[in-house]
Amino acid sequence: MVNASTVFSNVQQRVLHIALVGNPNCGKTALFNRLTGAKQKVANYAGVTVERKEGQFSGPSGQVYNVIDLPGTYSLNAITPDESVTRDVLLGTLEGEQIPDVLVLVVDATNLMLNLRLVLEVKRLNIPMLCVVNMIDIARQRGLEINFSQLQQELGIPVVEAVAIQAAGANAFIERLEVLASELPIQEASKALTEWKSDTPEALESTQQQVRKILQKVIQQPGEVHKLSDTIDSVVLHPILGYVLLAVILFLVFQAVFSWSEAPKEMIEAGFKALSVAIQHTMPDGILRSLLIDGIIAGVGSVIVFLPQILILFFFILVLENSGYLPRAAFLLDRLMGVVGLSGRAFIPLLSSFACAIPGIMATRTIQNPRDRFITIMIAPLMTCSARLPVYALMIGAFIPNQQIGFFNLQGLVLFGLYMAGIVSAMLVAYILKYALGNKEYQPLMLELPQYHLPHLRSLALGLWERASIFVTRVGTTILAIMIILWFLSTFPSPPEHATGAAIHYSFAGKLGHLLEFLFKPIGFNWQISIALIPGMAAREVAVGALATVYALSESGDQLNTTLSSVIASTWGLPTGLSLLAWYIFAPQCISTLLTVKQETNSWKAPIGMAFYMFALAYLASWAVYRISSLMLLGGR
Amino acid sequence: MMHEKKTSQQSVPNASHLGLLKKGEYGIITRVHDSSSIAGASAIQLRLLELGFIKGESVRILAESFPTGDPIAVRVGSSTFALRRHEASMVEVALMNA
Repeated sequence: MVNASTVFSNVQQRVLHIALVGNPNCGKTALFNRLTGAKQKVANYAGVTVERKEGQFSGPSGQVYNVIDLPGTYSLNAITPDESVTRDVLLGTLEGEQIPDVLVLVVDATNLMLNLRLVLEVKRLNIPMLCVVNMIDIARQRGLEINFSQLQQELGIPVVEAVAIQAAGANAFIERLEVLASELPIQEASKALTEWKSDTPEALESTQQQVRKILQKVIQQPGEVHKLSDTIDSVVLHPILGYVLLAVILFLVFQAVFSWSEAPKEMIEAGFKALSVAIQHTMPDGILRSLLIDGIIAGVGSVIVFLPQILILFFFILVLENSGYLPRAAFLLDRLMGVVGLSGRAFIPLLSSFACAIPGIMATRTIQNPRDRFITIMIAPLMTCSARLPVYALMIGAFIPNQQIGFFNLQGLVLFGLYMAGIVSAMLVAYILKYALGNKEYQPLMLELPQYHLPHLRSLALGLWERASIFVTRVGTTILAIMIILWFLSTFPSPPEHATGAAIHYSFAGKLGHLLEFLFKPIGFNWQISIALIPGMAAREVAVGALATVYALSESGDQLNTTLSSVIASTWGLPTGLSLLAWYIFAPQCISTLLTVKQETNSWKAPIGMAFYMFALAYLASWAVYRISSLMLLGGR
Repeated sequence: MMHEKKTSQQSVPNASHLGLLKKGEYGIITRVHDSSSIAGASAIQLRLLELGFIKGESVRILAESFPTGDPIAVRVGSSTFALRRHEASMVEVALMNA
């Protein structure tokens, strides 16, 4: 691009900041992905847990653009935390954010009537802007024809068409952006805060009338925009078929999470095993080898095997989200969830929580009502997250016989029961919170049911890549650190000479475990479990690795699981196993979840309350399960 | 389900509100009011207007949720929204195919 910069004499010396603005479902993120590819930075806006997506690209002139993908909004008159961020960035009132040099208003070609009002509203801010009419391919397929030059004239800003999901689909946009960029003042003008106040109902209606007048002039053929979506909806929203379909979809998702992940999981396990065997053969026995094999590989390996399951779950959530199905599910479940005081909107965060409570809790920001949002946050960790699976899998493998009951496998039934126990208790907690907090203000549903779209592979791949890197980073940092600390605590101090018991007995971890045993004995936990619970607070799945380390096993991978499984099956009683299962339904959630709750609610009250109520529930449930199963075993003899 | 009608509407033929419409029925919006019986109504009124529920626009019920028929899926302009009958009652309509 060296020569190009001589052709364009007006290349800006500075990086230009552009922001994508648009309604939810307008394909804004697809355009963002098209422009920036995998070179995206995902973080949070200062002080709020609204996801901030930023990336860079350069035009043919060599001009570098810094682009942020602002949260979708219907209006500057914000009613959710997401919408407030967009408003505040545009008005220049959000700390740490500058007013963008250029605004890119993205509109859905098939829904201009809804989208153009925001364009007219944002235009009043007097920031240089251009309008991208996205999804024009779908509009044309359905016979919709738009007069672009007329639209440009009516709006008074540059208008370009785009198909953000196609490789060259954003070229017209980039070309036009370059022209706009070359017209901007070379020096960055100091931007004043924009004066803004929300419209009156009368002003709103007149803007809407203006939109309709524009559309009368620019729509040459209305086409049959809704035909396909309406046909699909006649099944999806059907009072009976709709629910059957929802149940089938959820069943398939969970089925896939468990069966598709088997092969990659075994490969990862085999890889880690091979690695530790190789180290065993090449390194001399000693502290460093023990750290590598017992600490790092055993610990990290037992967590990383969950990557396939997490990716499969997120794959389905992304497909359901991108296709437009999730808001339909919220529509179907609104009434049902209303029974326990939740909105149908809570379905989306709660479904995400089955993968991990953190994205689930972050997804609650689409719920306007602070009380509904709070309740959803509080129960999200009761949805069985994928990190609990390793613990469940270990316990079920060790204590539940692998036998058929009719069509069902007993182990599968127990697993299903554990998921159900989480859901039912979440509903109970929500019901109690509903009454404890009172229901002061009515909250509307007002949820858009966008047209269906075929999920786009590139967007799916980028979404999965994002989740995978978050997970792997976490394993590489937090979990690695914890495993090293745990290894240290369970290795030092070394046992005295002529010691009779296992080495871990004499270590810090052993002493700590014995101290905690007093607390956990009433619910059937021995000192080994007590130790494993502590790193389990950092990340639930670590409990398995921790148990393995504590039981001083040096094998990894499959062998680790089977060996650990047979060790606990022979040393713990059935009541202890069941009690630990019950514990993990409620188990005080991982530290990262608590920190996310703190960020989301901006106070320590919610995470402390959450840790307390979940600890209490876990203890009670384990105690009850332990006592009852002990009595039943006695009675059975 | 709601059966009450505002007395002020009874003089207009086919006057109703969106909250009363059944699946397949459609009407023309006559007004979006900020009912005093709903807390936070003026914010809801603004959002309804922003979403395109404005005077003269036609609305059609595409679907009713199970089992109580609430919420409803409403086509307005070129969009579809899920509304509860409660907030839908703020949208006054003239029923077209009674």
